[in-house]
Order: sequence, then C-alpha cells, then structure tokens
Amino acid sequence: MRRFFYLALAALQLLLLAGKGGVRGNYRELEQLLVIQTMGVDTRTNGVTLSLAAKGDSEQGVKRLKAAASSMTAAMERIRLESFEEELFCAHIGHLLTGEKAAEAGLTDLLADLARSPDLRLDLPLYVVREDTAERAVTEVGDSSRGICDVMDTVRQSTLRRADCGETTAAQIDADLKRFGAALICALRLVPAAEQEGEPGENAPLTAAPEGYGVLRDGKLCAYLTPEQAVAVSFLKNETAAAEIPLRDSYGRTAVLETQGGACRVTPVWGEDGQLTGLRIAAETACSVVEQGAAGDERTSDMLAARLEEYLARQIESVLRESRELKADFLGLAARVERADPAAYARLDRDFSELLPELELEITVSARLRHMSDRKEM
Amino acid sequence: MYTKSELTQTQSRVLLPLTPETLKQVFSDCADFESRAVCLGLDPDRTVTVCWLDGMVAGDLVAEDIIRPLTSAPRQSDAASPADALARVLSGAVYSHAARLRDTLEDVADDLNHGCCALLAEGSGQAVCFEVRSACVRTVSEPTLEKSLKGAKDAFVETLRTNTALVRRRLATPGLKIREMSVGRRSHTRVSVLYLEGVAAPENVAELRRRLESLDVDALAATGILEEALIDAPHSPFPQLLHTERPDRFAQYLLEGRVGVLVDGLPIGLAAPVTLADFMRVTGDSCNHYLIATALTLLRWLALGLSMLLPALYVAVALYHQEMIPTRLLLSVIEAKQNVPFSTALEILGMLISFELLQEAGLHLPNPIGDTVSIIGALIVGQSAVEARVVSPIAIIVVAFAGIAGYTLPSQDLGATVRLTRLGLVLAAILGGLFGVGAGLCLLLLHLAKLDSLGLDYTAPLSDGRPLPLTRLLLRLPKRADKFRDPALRTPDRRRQA
Repeated sequence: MRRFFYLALAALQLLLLAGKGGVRGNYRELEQLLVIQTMGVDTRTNGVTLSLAAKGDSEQGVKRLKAAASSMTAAMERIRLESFEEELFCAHIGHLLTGEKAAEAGLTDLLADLARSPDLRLDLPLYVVREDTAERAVTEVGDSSRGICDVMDTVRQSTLRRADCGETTAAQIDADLKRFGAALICALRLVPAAEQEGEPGENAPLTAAPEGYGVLRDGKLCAYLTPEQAVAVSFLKNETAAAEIPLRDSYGRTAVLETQGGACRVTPVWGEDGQLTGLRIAAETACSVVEQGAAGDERTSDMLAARLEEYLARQIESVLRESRELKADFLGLAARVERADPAAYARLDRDFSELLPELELEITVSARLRHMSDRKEM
Repeated sequence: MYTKSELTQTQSRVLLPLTPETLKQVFSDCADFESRAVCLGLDPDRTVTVCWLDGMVAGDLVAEDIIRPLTSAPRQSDAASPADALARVLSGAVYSHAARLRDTLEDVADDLNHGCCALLAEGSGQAVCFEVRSACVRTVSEPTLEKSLKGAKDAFVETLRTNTALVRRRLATPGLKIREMSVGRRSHTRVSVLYLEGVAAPENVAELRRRLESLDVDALAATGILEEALIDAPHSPFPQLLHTERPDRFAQYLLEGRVGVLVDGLPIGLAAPVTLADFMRVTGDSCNHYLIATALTLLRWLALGLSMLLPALYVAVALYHQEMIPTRLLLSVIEAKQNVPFSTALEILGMLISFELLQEAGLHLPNPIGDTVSIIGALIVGQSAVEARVVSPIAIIVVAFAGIAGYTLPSQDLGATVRLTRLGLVLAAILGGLFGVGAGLCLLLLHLAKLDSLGLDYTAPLSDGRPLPLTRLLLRLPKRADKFRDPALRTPDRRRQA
C-alpha cells in the first residue's frame, strides 16, 4: 500500500511539473532559438525603439531586428511576431545600449524594467552611445558577418583591461544612483571602422569604441568625462587598471608611461564645529616606461615621474571640479567619508552632494617609476 | 526391485537399502556410470563392487590406488567378511587421502556425483567412498575481468576445493572457517560459506547460512539464483553482493569482516554485507600510494556522477534551461544542431539505446568480430550519422562521455545499474527538466536509503551516524593510520594492526 502511495506521489509530482504552468511551459528546442546578445533602447515620442542583434549561424550571419512601440514589452512582442519560427531568447543578452537622448530622458524606468525582467540580468553592462542612437549602433555597426555583438565583445574586453574606460553594470548604476544620486555610465562613440586605422572612408562600416564615461545625475545623463578624466576616475575609485599616458620629457620627446596599479586615499577634514570642511586626496602609483624618447637616466626618470604626478593631479582635480559643478557625487566620496568617521558623517547637517562644491580639496600625487633601465640586450 | 519413481524419490531422502543393485538402479540409463566387481585378494568367493562415474574420477587412480590394493592377496585374503574388508579399507588398506564410510544410498549417490569412487560390499549395507577426482578441470589462470597491475595474478576456477585452497593460501589460519552445504534439489551443488572467526560478525554468518539453507531450487547454475536468495531487496537493481574472481580480493573481504560464499562450478566469489561505497573500491587501491588511491577514488565517484547524470543534465539544460549554458557554447551547440530533424530528447534517447546495442553486440560476439562491430559502430556509423545530420556531435559527445565514465566503475553490476538509472533520469529530464532530474534523484536517494545488506545501511558510511563519514567514504588512509576495521561491519575484533 505504501509503495502505491509513493508511486502515486511521484506520478503527481511529474504531472505538476509537466503542466503548462510548470517547467513544461519553458520547453524550447535549441535549434529554434535566436540568441539575442545585444539590445539597444532609444526613446521616441510616446514610446521606445527597441533594437536587437543576434549572432546567427555561419550561413545566416548577423541578425538585426528592431521595432518601435509604446513600451519595451510591446516592442519586444512586435519583434517576436516578425521573427517567424525563431524564438527570441533574451537570457544571453550581454550588452545593453541606450541612445544619448534616452539617457538624457532618464534611465530610471529602464533600470526598473531590468530589475523586473525574468530574462535580463542586472549585471549586464550598460552603455550610452555618445551623440547617437542605440538603434544605429545595433543595426549599422559591422557588416553581414560581424555585427555589434562582436564589436561589443571587444569593447567589453577593453573596458575590463584599460583605465581610460570602465565597465558599468546596470546593477552598479542602479546602486550608485540610489546611494549617491549620481553614477557613471560607460560611453561609446560610433566611428567608421577605417577611421580607427587612420583611413577615413565614406562607405566604411561603423564600429563602436569606448570613450570615457557619461555622468548620470538623478538617473539622467548630464555630462561626459573624457578618457583622460576616466583615468583619474579609476584612481579615485581605487579601480586602477593599466593606463598608457603620453608625456613630454625634458628633450621635448614623447615618452609613454603605463601605470601599474595605484591607490587613492581620501581623508575628510573636519572643522571645529564638527562639520566637513575639506578632503585630502592622496594618490600614489607605480608606472613603467613603455615607449621612451629620451635616455633612461636618473634625471629623466625623476623628471618623468614629476610630469606624471602633475598630469594625474590635474586630471583628478578636473574630475573633482566636474563633480562639484554638477553637484553629483558620482565618485562615491560620501561613502568614503562615512567610512572614515561614521559618527561625524551622521552629524552632517546637509546632503554630501550639496556640501561638495564648498569643500576645500588638497590633492597630492606620488608616482614612482619602475624598471627604468630594464631593457633587453640588443 | 524398485520402481523408477521410487528410485527418483531416493534422491529425495527416501531411505533404501544400500546395495550394489540399488545403486545400479539409481544410476540406470546413466551411460557414464561404471561398476566393477573385484575379488578381494583374488578370492572369487569374496567380492566387492567398485562404482564410479566415468569422467568424474581419474581412472588411473582408481586402478592403482583402489583396485590394485583390493586384489592384493597378502592384504585382503584373510578378511573374515565384507564388513571386515571395508574396515580394513578404511584403516588404510587402500591408498586414498580421503575415505568416508557411508550407510545410505543417498550419500553414496551424492559422493559419486562429486567425483568419488564407492566401494560396496554385498550384505554389509555400507560403502566406503574415496576421493579420486578427475584432474580434468581448468587450471588456475589470470583474472579476465579484474585486471591486476601490482597484485596477485591468479583467479578462481570452477572447482570449489581449488578455490577454497586459493583463499586458505592467503589466510593461513585455522580461524578461516569453511562451512559447506549442498544446494539444489537436482544439482546438489556444493556451496561453501567462508569467514574469519572472531572477525566476521557471528550474526552475519548465521543469517547467510540460514538464507542458503532455505534456498530451494532445482539447480544452482548461475550466481543470479544465489544472489536473489541472499540479498535483502531482490527487486532493487543495485548490486547487493560483492563479486570477485580474484582470491586476494576475496581474502581482503574476509579480513574486513565480511562473509564469503563460494559455489562449486562458479569461478566467482561472493561476499556480504556491502555498501555502495564498496563497489567504488578496487584491490589495486591498497597497492597504490594512499594519495593516488584517494585521487582515484574521487575520480571514480566523479565518474559515477557524470555517467549517471550527464545525459540527463544535457537534456534538461538543452530543453528547459538554456540560460545556464555559456553563450559561446550555446551558439556552438545551436549551430551543430541546425538541420538535425530530431528533438534533443529523441537524439539522446536514440544515442543511449544505440550505445547499449553496440555494447551488447560487442559482448556477445567473439572478440575479433566484437571489436570490429565496436569500431564500425563507434567510428563509421557515428561519423556518418553526424555528417548526415541525423544526430548532432554534441549528443554523441555527451552519450560517449557518459559511457566512458561508466566504464571507470570497478563493478560491472553497478555499471549496469548506472546505465539503467541514466535512462530513467533522461526520461525524468525530458518530462520536467532539472526539476525532473531533481525528483528522479530524490526517488533514487529514497530507494538507496531504504536498502540494507545483512543489516548494514547500503549508504554507509554516510548514514551510519559515525564520525567523519566523508573521510571514510573518499579517503584511503595511510596503512599506518588505518588501524581499525570499518565499525559499520560490527566486527568483534575491530583492530587490524597495532
């Protein structure tokens, strides 16, 4: 009797699983999937334009789909209808692009949709297409064999490796917006592919290249940071990746230095009344010479180190100035002040972003050149 | 004179007078039955009858060691009566290492069937049986199923006494007890229960003997008949007896505190009680360095998991949970699967069945043909199927990998169970994806948790409540540290070394 009970229980379990409401509703055959890898979102009057790109098989090449509708869901449904027997599969979207206008209008709704979507992940890297639309990026970048998906894979590798641009995920942007009211978003620029190689051509296919950051305040795009400023951002956020910095040596030749790690310490300065009066920012880095115009003597080494310190201090100051002018703490300085002295931070009578423009900044940079004379024997 | 039915009943313990005539009637229509009247000391007035089954005994030994001494005048001519002659035979007048006095027809018939030669004296109602077995048996050779790299190279044969001797050679102690009994209404197969006194739990010995004694079958022709009688859950596909063709491994089982069974006519030793973990160990482990042995044990457990789960996981992920597959792999799989007309479920089921067909074909054919079939099946048919886009390469890879992982399991019985379970889990995956696989695994675990072998949990040491279960399951300790026998076996003497 007990055996029959167990068998009945197992059969019931399988029936529940096999029903439409169970896992059976998720049944898909692999060969019918159209694996979407890049999604672009633009705003238009009374709605959005959704553009999708998928890497098809070797015969089909790149697939590009787009639709305009009143909402993202409606646009997706329209694309679904137009994709015939292929089933759109969005769980593997690896890059999310927004047009400049969409970012200026605000990304809060998009981030909320991402948080709700069962298909899209919050750790998706989010990009803003500088002075252009995401639709153009998705539908026009590349050619029939290589599309935006391949280009974005390359861009992503760059953002992970280089300090003059950085990957910003939807989750990170959402968290920064909620915590500091401001956030950075990786910016892209569409350029003709040949132009990157120094041969501009009218019919050259488009490609995308990372170019600094966009600054989001209250969810809306309000400014851009240049790649040079992005290097300073990486120092200020203690996310130092390798950055190649060209400098002039005393002989007027160009030397290229590569930063190899570094750190930035932010120390709050408290006034007698317990209020925050300033920030002491001390950055330090080590770097090596990758291209050198001058001889590798000690004098040149000292001079290059001094020039690098000067350069970094200038860029850090420039980023902080931008932050103060925008009243946007996109660097997360508030969190560092709070970590330094939680009790004093709690006593602040104004919001940190309002205080920021009034704070006195003291910036010091210390650079150390390594391996100045490490050269292979010729 | 007795009727045929009465004589048949004789073998069913109906006692009849023991005379040469009744014995001849019992063995009537048996072409191999031989009997010869021999005059004691060449005196024609005093005759005895020598009976044997041709082929079962060595003819030259009968002539030299039995008939010649019987006819020798100085020894036998003054015997007062046939009974006196038998007494003299028993006291050494005949050159045989083993002589037994029998007084029932049944015993004599049984002895003849087991390679003895019977000497019957008219009117005495008794017989003396000598062991003069034929040497026409297979000699001890290398194991064919359980290869040994560093261990002993001998394997059990079909002769029970040779097998017990092989074990005795490894456990040269009077503590090695060999209890023998006859099983099978018709076959009267001799079965030996072996154990080490003081090491094996007495209750296990008693229980195993009880189960053997209660076995009532016509003949004990295959281990399966014996197994079903000895195990606790005959409906479970999981093996519940250890099999080995290697005496060293069998001796090791006895040393661990298990009870062994050897059957006349079967070149395989059985041992109980067992756990699932026992099927994952090989004797070679004790020949290897403990780190290597541990790594190999881990590898076998991994192979067990892969072999059982890989096709089911692939089906579940490919049909229901595509988001779990890395993007590049997914694109590659989709590209490979384009233009394949069958669904993933059919592909995998078809491949699993084809794999089993190939394996069966390879097993039942002579070696050279079997190899050819395997090569044709695996290479030519497989490659052609992929080129013709009947199956995708990934399906072949998954099924082949699961199959190869299954071959790393030391026990073929467990391997067969894994193959069956694999198919069940694939069906569960087709029905319910990962949830189906999970449900299937839960049922499997429930089943395993219910199994026991002579009172020992089948899932021990994970379930016996003793400390360090994973250590005992996966690690092979250095010999110096491995001082105690497995407590789960409830051995009276737990310590195996100082």
